[in-house]
Amino acid sequence: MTGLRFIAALTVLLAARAACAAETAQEIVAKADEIRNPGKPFKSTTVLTEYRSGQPSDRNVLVVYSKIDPATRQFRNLARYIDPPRDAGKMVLLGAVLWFYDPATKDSVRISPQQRLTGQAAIGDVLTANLAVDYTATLMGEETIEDAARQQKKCWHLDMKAASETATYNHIEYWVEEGTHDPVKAKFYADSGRLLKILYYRNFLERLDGLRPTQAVIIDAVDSSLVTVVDFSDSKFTDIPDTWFQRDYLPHLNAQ
Amino acid sequence: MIFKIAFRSIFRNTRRSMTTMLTIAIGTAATLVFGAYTVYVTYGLQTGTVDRVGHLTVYRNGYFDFGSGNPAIWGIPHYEAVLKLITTDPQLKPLIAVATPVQYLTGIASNSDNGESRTFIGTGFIPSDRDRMKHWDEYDVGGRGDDTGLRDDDSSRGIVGEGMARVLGLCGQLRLGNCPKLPTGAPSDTAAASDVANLPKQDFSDLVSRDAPATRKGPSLPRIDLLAATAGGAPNVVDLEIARADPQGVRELDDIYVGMHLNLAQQLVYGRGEHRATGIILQLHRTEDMPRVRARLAQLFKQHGLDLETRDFAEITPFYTQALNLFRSIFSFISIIIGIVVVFTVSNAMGMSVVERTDEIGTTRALGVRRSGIRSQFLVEGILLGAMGATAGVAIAFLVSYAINQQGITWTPPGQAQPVPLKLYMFGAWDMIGTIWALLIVLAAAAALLPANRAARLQIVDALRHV
Amino acid sequence: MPGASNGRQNEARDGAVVRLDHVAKTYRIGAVAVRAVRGVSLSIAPRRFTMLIGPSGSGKTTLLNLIGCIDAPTTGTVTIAGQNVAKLSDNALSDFRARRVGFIFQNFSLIPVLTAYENVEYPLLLTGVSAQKRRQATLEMLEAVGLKDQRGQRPNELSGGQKQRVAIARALVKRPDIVLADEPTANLDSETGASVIALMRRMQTESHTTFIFASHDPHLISHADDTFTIRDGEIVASGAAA
Repeated sequence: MTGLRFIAALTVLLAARAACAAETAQEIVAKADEIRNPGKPFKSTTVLTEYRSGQPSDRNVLVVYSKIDPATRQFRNLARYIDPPRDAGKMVLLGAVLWFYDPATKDSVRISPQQRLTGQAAIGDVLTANLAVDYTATLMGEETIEDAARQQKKCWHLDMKAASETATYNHIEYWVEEGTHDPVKAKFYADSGRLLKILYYRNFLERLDGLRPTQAVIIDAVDSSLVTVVDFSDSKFTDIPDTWFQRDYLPHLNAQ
Repeated sequence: MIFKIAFRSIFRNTRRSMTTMLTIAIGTAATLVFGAYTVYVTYGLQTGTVDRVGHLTVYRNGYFDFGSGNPAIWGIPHYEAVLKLITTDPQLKPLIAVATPVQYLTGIASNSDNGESRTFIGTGFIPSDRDRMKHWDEYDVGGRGDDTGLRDDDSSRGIVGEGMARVLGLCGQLRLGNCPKLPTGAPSDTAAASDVANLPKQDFSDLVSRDAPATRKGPSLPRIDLLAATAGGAPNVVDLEIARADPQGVRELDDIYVGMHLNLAQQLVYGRGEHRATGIILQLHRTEDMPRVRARLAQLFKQHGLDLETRDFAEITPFYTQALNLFRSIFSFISIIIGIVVVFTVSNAMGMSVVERTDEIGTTRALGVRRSGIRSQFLVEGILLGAMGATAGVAIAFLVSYAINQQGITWTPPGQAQPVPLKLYMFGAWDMIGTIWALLIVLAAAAALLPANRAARLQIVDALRHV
Repeated sequence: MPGASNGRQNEARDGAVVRLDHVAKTYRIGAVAVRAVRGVSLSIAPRRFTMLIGPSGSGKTTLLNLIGCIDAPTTGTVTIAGQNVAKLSDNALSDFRARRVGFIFQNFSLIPVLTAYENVEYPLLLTGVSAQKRRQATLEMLEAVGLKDQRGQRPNELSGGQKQRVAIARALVKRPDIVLADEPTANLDSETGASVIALMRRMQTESHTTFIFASHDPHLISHADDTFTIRDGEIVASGAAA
């Protein structure tokens, strides 16, 4: 990763934009990542509410266990459905590969990339990803934008390109508030150049030893009537054994 | 002398012999006409298939058996070099009519105007090559489908199946003829589940409008979004302007088909990675060159260490072989029935002839003709009946075929979208004519065998007494 | 005039061209056994006009059939031109008849689809005679029986007498050892019948072929060289006529 950081720094210098002289674009993104999610393992109750043209159409409550994998420096997540009762007990393992476990069949199924195009599986990528790892950031400049609460925020406007073949999005536009490094808004683009998702962070509250966003609003840019609101609550640090993130272990977890 | 006697004996009982020969003639004609129809169907099916999928397709080794679920990861690397290798090879060049790359893909097609979406299976192709392929007509059956209506220089346009157009609600915009209305009680997937009924409405219009896309100006073609996962597993989406809806012939395909320019397909499926192609389609000038081309391709691939395989249109479109086998089995079935009728009729006529000429048989034997001579006499009569009847049948078949061809009847073969003219192939189907003609003669001889044997076994004195 | 006697006539030790030794023929009709010929022994001299005379049902037809090799005896030996015919296979017997035996039937038995010429020619095809010789012999024979002008006509266009004359020509055209005639005049009126018998007699004299004919008509005895009288399957008398 040292080489990439060097290139990022070089890019920033060559761009010769008015920027925070003390920090590189990549460092800004990394700090924003830390604000979104702490480095220590934690669990969180997550409520996903789906709205169609403003009408609530679906709601799931999950408990999500998150832990960083030191090898990839990305989060691995184990999500367990709690509500509604018909989905209770189902689990999803998010890592390099997405596994879905159904306690009724005691079988885990791999969800392929084609199957993650729509629905809840589509948003897993944007929530806990450490963007600094898979994307190379360039500082475009400063920009004052409206956040999700209609507050004006002075932000760094960053342009992020996929650093590898495996990064989910080809290109991301990111607005991070100057000074606080709070993530404000992100726009995720597909390989074709078209906008796929718009993400707003809001409701910054005390959570997991820090002021962190407790709500994300995800707008589907392809079908703009579809908006998903993700609420985080009851977050606490907790030890999570590595075995929990193994697919074969899922049936045992269910017993707890 | 045998033939003289046989021939004249046949016409002794003119009415019976005429009836027998007519039976044979009609049987021959019916078999031939249906045979010509089967030949026509074979040519028609083959032409329809080769028009669409060419003769041979080169794939990455293993794609055909395992790759259809995820074409994105089975692309041929450096496909342009492979294409060049094939088209510049001196052995292959004169045999190939069209060589063109294709990309197969699957994803979700959605209409943002009404929120309708469905999975699609699509093909990315080069429009001019596609149109050229439709001109292949080795057997002169005529009646091919429309051109794609797309241009090589415009990657943004495509075509959809009529069923797909209907589901996405584009029926009216594409001016399709058969446009049923959604019934009033139609179900909807946007009804809220009971657990969300009590949640408050929210207004996101402000957030959404900040990044809303600019409205397109002026009259434009209906537009849909195509979502797919790239070979690298990333979600991707492209715009497709629909030039027209093209009926696909088979309903299942019609409901899910999207056709687009190769570049757009590659953009969607490969994104930032190397743009590949699922296959290279080869359409030859003549179907009979297929084995040669296949062998040469295998040679070339081996030489250059390419892990590619070649499949022919019968493998790619098993329906072709299935349909042909169906027709052939019907043809066999009909032929057997006709054969049974012919055997029965000839056997009956010959049997009566033997009984009527019992005293003649006795005399002939007394004159010194051997038993085998008697048997041959009647066998020859059966053969002559068969030959005359069969020949008349061939003539009738030609006349009937001519008459039918002149009517200009059309029909729509199974699996195809367009009607084609019905043409019975008698001229040129000499193999078939010769075989059926010979077979009917053999049948007549076989039918005459039992009565002939009976005649040969007669005791001379008993025969002579029989007046 | 067809050539004189051919040297093919083999003669048994006693000069007979036909010899029957204790020949008997029994055939069954359902459960009943009928003894048509009972223990007949006779010799027929060659080149003579021999008559078998007897009432109907006397067995003369059966005897003629046995001599003509179109039937086989139940017991006894039939020797024709020195050949024990019992020793011949079915095919060999057919060939033997084709070359050596001529038939004249009471109902003419011409092949209805062939012309008079073709009917007469037919036996020559069985013995592999060349086309030229066939033509020559057939025309000669037709001329001899006085039917050259009718040679292109089919049997249904000929009168009874004409048909029988064609039969005679057919029987003789291959120069057989023996010619057998079974009631040759039975289906002809007396005048025609007389002329047919006269023709047969003349042909026999000119060709020196052995003629054996069966009849129940005593008036024909005067034409015969030798006679055998048959009653109930046995020879009751034999003699040489004038």
